[in-house]
Amino acid sequence: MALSDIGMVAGDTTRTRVYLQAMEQEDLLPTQVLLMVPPKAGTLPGQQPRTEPRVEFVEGWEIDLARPVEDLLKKTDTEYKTVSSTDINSADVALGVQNLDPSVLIYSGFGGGILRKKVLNLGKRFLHVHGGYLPEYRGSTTSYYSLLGHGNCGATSIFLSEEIDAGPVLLRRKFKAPLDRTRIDYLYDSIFRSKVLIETLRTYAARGQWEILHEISGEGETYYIIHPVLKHIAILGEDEGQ
Amino acid sequence: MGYPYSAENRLRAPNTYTYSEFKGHTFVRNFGASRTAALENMAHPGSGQLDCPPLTHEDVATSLFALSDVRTAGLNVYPKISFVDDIWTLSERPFSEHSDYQDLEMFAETNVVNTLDLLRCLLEMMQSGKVSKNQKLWCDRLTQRFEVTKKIYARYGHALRKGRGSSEDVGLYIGFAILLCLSYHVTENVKYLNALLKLNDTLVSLSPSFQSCRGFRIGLSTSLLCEGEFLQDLCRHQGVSFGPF
Repeated sequence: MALSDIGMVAGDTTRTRVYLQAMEQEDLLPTQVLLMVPPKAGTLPGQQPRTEPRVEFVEGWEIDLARPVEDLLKKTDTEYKTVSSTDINSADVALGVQNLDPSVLIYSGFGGGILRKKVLNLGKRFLHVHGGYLPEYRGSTTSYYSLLGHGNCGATSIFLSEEIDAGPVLLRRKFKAPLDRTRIDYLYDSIFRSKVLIETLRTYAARGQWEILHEISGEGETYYIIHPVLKHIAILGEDEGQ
Repeated sequence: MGYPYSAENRLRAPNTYTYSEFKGHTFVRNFGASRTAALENMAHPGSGQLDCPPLTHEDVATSLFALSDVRTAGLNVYPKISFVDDIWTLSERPFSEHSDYQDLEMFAETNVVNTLDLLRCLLEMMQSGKVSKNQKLWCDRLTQRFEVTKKIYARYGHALRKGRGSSEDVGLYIGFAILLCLSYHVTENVKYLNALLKLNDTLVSLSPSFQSCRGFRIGLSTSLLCEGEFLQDLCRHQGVSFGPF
């Protein structure tokens, strides 16, 4: 089943791979995808080098982090177009976004990409899953701050707005700290976001409309890229507070 | 593998800290060794530094004892840092003339914020026990500007939106480090410890150039000792057994 009126704009990142593999297994694929492709070959910051295919079972899903996004899109007959850019704010990507039919697009771009006003005003709504429990954990690398503060992780689905991590909240969940915390960046962060994404899409499919859970207005705390020492403490920490 | 984040002048080559890798206990040991060496260099500068007597225990201990006293008492007050007035003599720039640095509201109305005035105002307010709803706002704005640029500028535009002037005034960095120490000490909000770690990385990277400056040595020593104490507490709470830092 393809979700009517829901598309996706994405880069071929670990997160997008997990999103789409979870969506495929949950029968909730988007109708159209705009795939941003790096103009030059190579590994982008925050992405793991290419690895051999290896399926692992995580949270009820079969996940292969080495499976390219295009491979999945082709095998599932999902309509997609590519655009040669990693910049969500570039003119080419904006044009591609404008040409997509769905009015709601799941956003899963490359790291550090912040949607500017020009893109936000294209007449689409961008559904994003933030890797932290909002509004308490706004900003960057919040999985680690959440582990230090509350011993757990979180994820929240929002519609993007101009202010970072301040869009209306659709759904938020807390998750137990993963047993292997060294795989947060390259696996569990994406898994937690996928769980919230799937639940958000299921809710929409069942009700036929988006329901806003919470409007954020100046609440919460904004965090910045975690210092490596704090990251090590969070990873090496015990699982108290679960 | 050493500790790379203080390995070169980090005002000239700022760290980004993006996508840092997990490297286990070795990384933390290297961090601890780097900080220990920096503390030792601040306390006992090289033999060529004739005008640099070693720091005495009292030089840095007073402030730490004050921190411990407040923590033990469980009081929600800021400790008196004995050398705060000395920090300002490090700065290249004077206070603004006629500035009423005891009033935070002043900074909301101006289009040019003198960073030295703002830091002094925040530290004076904290140490005198004054509580203002705007303290966190301004402290957070400074933290945000530092996190984004890894620099502290001499001046900022309205609401600290854009830095102006020099970003190499080491007195501002020491003053901000003490502000972060106090902020984390009272709030235990990890975002302040996060910024303090990054700021100390930068200050340690600059320290070879400032070994003859007593104010810098006292300021950085205090900041590093506070950081070490904060990390020990955090590790204890997280059940992590490495250290001491």
